[in-house]
Amino acid sequence: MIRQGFILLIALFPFVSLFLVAPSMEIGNVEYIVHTVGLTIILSGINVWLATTFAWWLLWTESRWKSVIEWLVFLPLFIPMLATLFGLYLILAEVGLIGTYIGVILALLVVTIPYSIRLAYNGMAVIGRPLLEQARLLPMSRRVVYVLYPLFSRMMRTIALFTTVILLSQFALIQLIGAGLIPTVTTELYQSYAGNNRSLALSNTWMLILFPVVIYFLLSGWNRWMVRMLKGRLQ
Amino acid sequence: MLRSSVALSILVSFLPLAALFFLGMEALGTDWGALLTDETWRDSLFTTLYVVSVSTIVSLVLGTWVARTVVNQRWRFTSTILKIPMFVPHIAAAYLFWLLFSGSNGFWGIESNERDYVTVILTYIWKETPFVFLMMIGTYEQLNRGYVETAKTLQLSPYAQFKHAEFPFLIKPLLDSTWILIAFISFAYEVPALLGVTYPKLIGVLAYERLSTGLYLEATEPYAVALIWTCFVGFGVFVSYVMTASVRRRIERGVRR
Amino acid sequence: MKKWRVLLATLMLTFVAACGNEEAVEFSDTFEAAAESAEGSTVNLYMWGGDEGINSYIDDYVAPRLEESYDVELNRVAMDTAEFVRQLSLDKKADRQVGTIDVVWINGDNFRNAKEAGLLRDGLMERVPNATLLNETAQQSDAGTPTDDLELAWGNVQFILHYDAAKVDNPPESFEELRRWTEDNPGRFTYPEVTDFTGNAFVRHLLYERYGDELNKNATVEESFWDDLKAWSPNLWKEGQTYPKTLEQLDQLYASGEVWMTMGFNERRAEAEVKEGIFPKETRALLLDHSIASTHFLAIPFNSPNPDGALVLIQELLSPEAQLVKQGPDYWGDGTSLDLTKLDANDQKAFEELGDGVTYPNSEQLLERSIPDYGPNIIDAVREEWPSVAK
Repeated sequence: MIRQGFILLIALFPFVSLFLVAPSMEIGNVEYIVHTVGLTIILSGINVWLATTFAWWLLWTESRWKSVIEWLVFLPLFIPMLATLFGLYLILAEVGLIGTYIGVILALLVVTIPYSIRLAYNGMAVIGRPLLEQARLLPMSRRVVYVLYPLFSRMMRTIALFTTVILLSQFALIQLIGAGLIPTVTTELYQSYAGNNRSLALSNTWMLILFPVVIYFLLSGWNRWMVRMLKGRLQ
Repeated sequence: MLRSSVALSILVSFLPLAALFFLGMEALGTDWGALLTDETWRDSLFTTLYVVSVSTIVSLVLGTWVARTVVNQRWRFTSTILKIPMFVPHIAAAYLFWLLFSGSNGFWGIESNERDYVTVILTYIWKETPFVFLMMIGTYEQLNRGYVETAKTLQLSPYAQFKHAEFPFLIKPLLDSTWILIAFISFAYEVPALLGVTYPKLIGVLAYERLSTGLYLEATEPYAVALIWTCFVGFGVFVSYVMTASVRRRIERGVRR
Repeated sequence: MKKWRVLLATLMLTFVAACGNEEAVEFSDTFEAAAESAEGSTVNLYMWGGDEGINSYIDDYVAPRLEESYDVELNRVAMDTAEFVRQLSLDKKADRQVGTIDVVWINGDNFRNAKEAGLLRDGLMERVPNATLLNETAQQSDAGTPTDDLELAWGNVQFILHYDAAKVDNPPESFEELRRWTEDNPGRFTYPEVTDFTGNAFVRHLLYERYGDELNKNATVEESFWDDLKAWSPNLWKEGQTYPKTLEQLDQLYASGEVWMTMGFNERRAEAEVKEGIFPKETRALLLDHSIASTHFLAIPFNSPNPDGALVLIQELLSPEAQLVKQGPDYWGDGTSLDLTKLDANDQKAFEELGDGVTYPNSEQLLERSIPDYGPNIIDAVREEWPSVAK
């Protein structure tokens, strides 16, 4: 009990800072919040889709390229992000995607997809091939709706959450690839960390912390509702 | 449908490698000798190695230990709470720690912005331990209790029990977490930029700043350093995975059967 | 397997097809033609965004005016100067002829770099009618680098320190006295790192104290200078183990009372901060032996997608009305770059009537002690050699 309490205390202690100064409540411009929400939804969607399909493919493929591709996809995890950033800029500038939504999404995809695939692959490995093998006997649509979705829903939530957190951590990337034209909560508010207004900086911190929390609860609610609905249909 | 999205994933994964290639092109004209003797880079490198190794090792040990305890003791609530720090963006975490330790309200004699980088390390430990925890807990949950029971029956010491009945299964997630942490911490910008000191800077901060301040605009050094560091990490990844390949394969086959 | 290849090939093709480089957008021939072609367009102004007063001057005052008089929408993008210069240089490397940035706020070594890398358009003087009103001395050179018509002066300021009179009884009057003051008040003074614009300027003031103009002819700083500067360290904030990364961080330390002095270009900058209660109430100006005068500029990048809109914006920013409001205490307090003698009587009077603030220094003394800046090679030298002080 004491050990448990101690661990909890340490995990939660830094949040004390949030209450040391009163945050300022003014929110002038909502453009950056809209951008952030938009990017979060699009990116989470793409990530969940790509990662699940890819992990599924990896689980069953007999291709002799399997291990090579597996490595190729996991390799970006080990490359420091700052190192790829400048090369990425040159590539995207060549294609004319700097300062566009697509360019930013692509760049963010590059930094999120390796994590998502890893999470998806681990998630499927935990469920194990035998269970999934039985699911393969069902026709495609039924398989996805009644077996895979309920099995994977928690994993998908984790992927969406991870994507959100990584997205919210990107300052240099969004600022450079987006050419400053796509402000997000992070870029717009990054300056306040260096600025001389502590309560503004703190309210930004609140926002950065609450964003994933909201996403988490929304997704949990959605999952629960979906599973209940599916169960209802099965009866 | 499946094929095309798999192809897209592969294509996206190709981008960082292509980016590295471009980086290499930029680094071509670097005076490598001068780079190695430059004291600023060298001091940065040593400090970075220190920060990276301490935070990685502590996070790994703590994360594994907590995962083990949580599974053994069935602490469901703790397990949920523990994941929270992972979902705090690094920038926000750094600011929380900065507020706690900055200025005259330094805590327990620990102050931010000092040369031992204690607060930077603390921030990373707080952020990465839950990450390691998440990577390990899956493994611990599906760990075959039979091995541990056998080890107990054989009356092995607790250390030997861990070594023979648990550790072999942890190799893969441990390796993955180790290198992800090393790659991430060693070249990150936000946390050390906020909590670090003017000299020596961590290598990611130094590289980013040299790229963005006037004097070094045309310099190739930061590109070269980024490239060397990536190769260094890549080499470590390669060697460690090759060395453990046979053990991991045996374990994986065992688990699947 | 086949589908696979088809898909890859299509993707490759789209990449290649998109690579066809567009032609750069040129200026219209006259300003009237430019104003006409810019109607209904958006112009992207990239500038450092760390000051609320400056931001609201652009957003709340300039943007509505621009919309009203030229039907041009102004989009202010907050980005550090070095960052957009780097972005432009990457654009140049990738041969991106139609970029995103229309106007930049720039000066000093960043301008020198942009100029050397060929990132800016020339011929601004003849294209912007209000450029004739500019103060010719200010317009001529940017911290020692000839402007060569690549940028137009936007504001003119001087370096000054500020202190909290509630805590500092006998403020120092020279840099030497300042050093001794730090000995008596350890931990109460610091300056930003020299990668920061202001921190670098502070060190240049000390250089001027020792070398005067001489450094312009012979740009070598002796080791002993750095040793002397290192001698300040034990009495600085955190014993000189670390320095604030930026001026804003120093301001933050000053606002919270941890240090008792701050500094910066723009002799009027503290007024709004005191009014808003961020800086201590008793903040006063501190003018030492000499003060570097600095001009900051506006420029148009080589790959501006809307160069006509850029001209219209600069014309507006250099108008006497906009400059008057900029110098006033409401938003920013930035000194005008216009030559007052070239203005008509009414405008001149309006500038004279702006008056003084409590945190302003004595304007005659300020002018007397004004010195021109060293060239960019000294800025570079400070950057290169100062780290030995921080060690």
